Amino acid sequence: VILPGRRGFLLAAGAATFAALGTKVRFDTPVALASSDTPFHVDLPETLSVLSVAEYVTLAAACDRIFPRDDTPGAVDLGAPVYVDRSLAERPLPPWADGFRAGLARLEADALRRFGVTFGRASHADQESLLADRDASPDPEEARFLRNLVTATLEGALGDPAYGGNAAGAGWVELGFPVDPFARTRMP
Amino acid sequence: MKSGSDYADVVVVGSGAGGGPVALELARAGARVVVLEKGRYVEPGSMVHDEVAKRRHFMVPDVRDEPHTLRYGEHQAAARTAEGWTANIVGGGTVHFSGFFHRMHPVDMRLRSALGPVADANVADWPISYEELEPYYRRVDEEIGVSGTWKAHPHEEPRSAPYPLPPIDEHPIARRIDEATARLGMHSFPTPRAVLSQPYRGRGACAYCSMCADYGCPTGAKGSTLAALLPAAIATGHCEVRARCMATEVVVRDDGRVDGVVYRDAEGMTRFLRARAVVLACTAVESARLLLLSRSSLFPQGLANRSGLVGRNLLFSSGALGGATFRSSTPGDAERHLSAQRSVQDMYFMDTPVDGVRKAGTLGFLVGFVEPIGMAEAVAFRSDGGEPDAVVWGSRLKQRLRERLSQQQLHFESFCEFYANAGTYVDLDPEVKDRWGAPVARMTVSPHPLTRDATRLIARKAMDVLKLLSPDEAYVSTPQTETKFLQGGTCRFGRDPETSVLDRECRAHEVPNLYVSDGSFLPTSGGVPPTMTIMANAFRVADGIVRRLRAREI
Repeated sequence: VILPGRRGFLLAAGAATFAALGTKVRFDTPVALASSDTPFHVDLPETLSVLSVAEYVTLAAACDRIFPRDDTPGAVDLGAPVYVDRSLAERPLPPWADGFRAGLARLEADALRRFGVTFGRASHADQESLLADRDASPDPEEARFLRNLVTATLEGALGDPAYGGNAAGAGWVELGFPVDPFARTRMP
Repeated sequence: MKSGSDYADVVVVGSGAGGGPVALELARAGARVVVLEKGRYVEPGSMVHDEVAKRRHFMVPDVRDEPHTLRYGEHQAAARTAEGWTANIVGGGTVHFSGFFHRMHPVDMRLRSALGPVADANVADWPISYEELEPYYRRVDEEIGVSGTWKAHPHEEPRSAPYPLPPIDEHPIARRIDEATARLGMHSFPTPRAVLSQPYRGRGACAYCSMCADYGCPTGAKGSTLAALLPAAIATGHCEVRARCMATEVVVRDDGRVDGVVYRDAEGMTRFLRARAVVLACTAVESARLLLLSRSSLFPQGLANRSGLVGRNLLFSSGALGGATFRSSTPGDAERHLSAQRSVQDMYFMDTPVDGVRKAGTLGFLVGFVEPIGMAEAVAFRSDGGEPDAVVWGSRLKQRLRERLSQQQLHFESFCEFYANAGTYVDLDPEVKDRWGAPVARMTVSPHPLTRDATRLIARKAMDVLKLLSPDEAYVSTPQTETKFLQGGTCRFGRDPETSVLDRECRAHEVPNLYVSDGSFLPTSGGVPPTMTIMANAFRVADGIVRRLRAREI
């Protein structure tokens, strides 16, 4: 876990206030609330394997846009960001991991440049335009990152709970996937 | 036998369709057999449906450590790929196959005679006939338990006995497929499966989870060598399977006979295993690579390769993919996920050419199983028949996923003749090496125009059938591709050492105690998945080895 330095950075930037891992990060400034009804809350996991808190917050906000909560759970409810963080510590790395953190950093930098706030604090509409820009970008790295982000989010929402996402299999049950009796544990 | 011994009567490299039958028959005959398998051992009961593991290539090697390289034509630069690996697990590709267990047809063994010369293709007759192979097909039926229906259609290959097990239960849509094919003058029939429809020889029956392809079978009903053959081989007390042991060189003595196999064990130590005979069965691509890596002063171009033919005439199964979407589904079975279980072989061999094609292959229909991540990704990336456009995400992704889950999908796939040709082969990549420094296998692929035409013909016929089922949408998603799990041909067997690597016993013409028992021997791909034929031939090869061991000829 690589917290202190990152936490210091975030606090200095005034982007968020929070106490420690395992608590909620609240984005409750007027900027964040400008075009969304509720402030964006992220439950930080007890530990992070690879990502900094700032990266985790960016990731969680992006997962929330890619697979949002409606009358069924969204990617953040299902634990997709936890899955992504844990997967980045595993060997072999998942195929989508290549260039993943660099892609998150570019997403964050674009948010700051265009909207003057971190990605996590941007409005839903601004977050969505930042993601859509990646798909349309002439830079193939950006389009690849968006696809990798989508893949990682879906694996975290709909993969086996043993990998840290898809809490209690809710992604399968609540979205209505056929029940597969042999899909509840991880291969040894 | 003593575990960890550095001597065996016979070393078998690979534990899948080509290695499993040889290990079993030699062990039954009392020979001391060691099977070297580069993959790990996974208890059959641990074979859960872990889609994340599948996506991380649990079943095949990590491409970062052990790539293949692939190019379409010699003008291209070869790119790193995981394609061309069939498996990396005890049991090989049989662990994660679907088990579509069609036999080849008599015409496959005499295709050159049947077609006459084919321009720019290396079509050859086999040195054995269907009739010589038939008893071994029957042995596979009985050893692993094949489920099917005899005398179901006019194009069926001759059989000396019925299937030991009745066919797998099918989705009601099968009846509608039968009606549609009958209206078109075609004959659909129950797909024979290496899956137990009933308990058999101590193994349990199919639980109808439907997730055969790409996953291990949790109940042992699927006829993998892991479930059906290797336990019996080990039970003889004469066979040891060494997992995570990668053969790196076959060593030859001064008299031109094979001395044994060098391998890297699970701890990364290099070891040598001496043997009276060596059997390579690690897939057409990797068996060829191992021979090409085994250079010596006697065989400077690679073992058994004075002819320069090792790696040549690489074969795959050519396939088209597509399907249909139904918004109102045919009700299936609430408890069991049943598949359509239908095949069509009216395009197998045609006396009169259709679209310029006389030899095509098998069309199969199946009700796909649902892989949650795969389905969501297909919707997101629009790889399911929709036009390729922006990635779909957000509430639109969830909405479309719900629609998709309410629809029924019927898929088709095909197994079509892949015409061997001079532009399709395996050699050692001149630049790329695996993480241990050995050159990797480079695949160069140039599908023959007839392969493309034949595959498209099957896709066209599939669309004719699907349209009669009144779907909301029918589509061909892939007009022609090579299924690289299904491979053969790199050490063709034949009578003439000038044009073949192996003799009719699948023993190297140039090395009297070296055999290859995987798909490498195939001179033609057949119009079916080759796995059943590889297994049958491996039983035949084993009989030949036992005969020569007993006669002290090897």
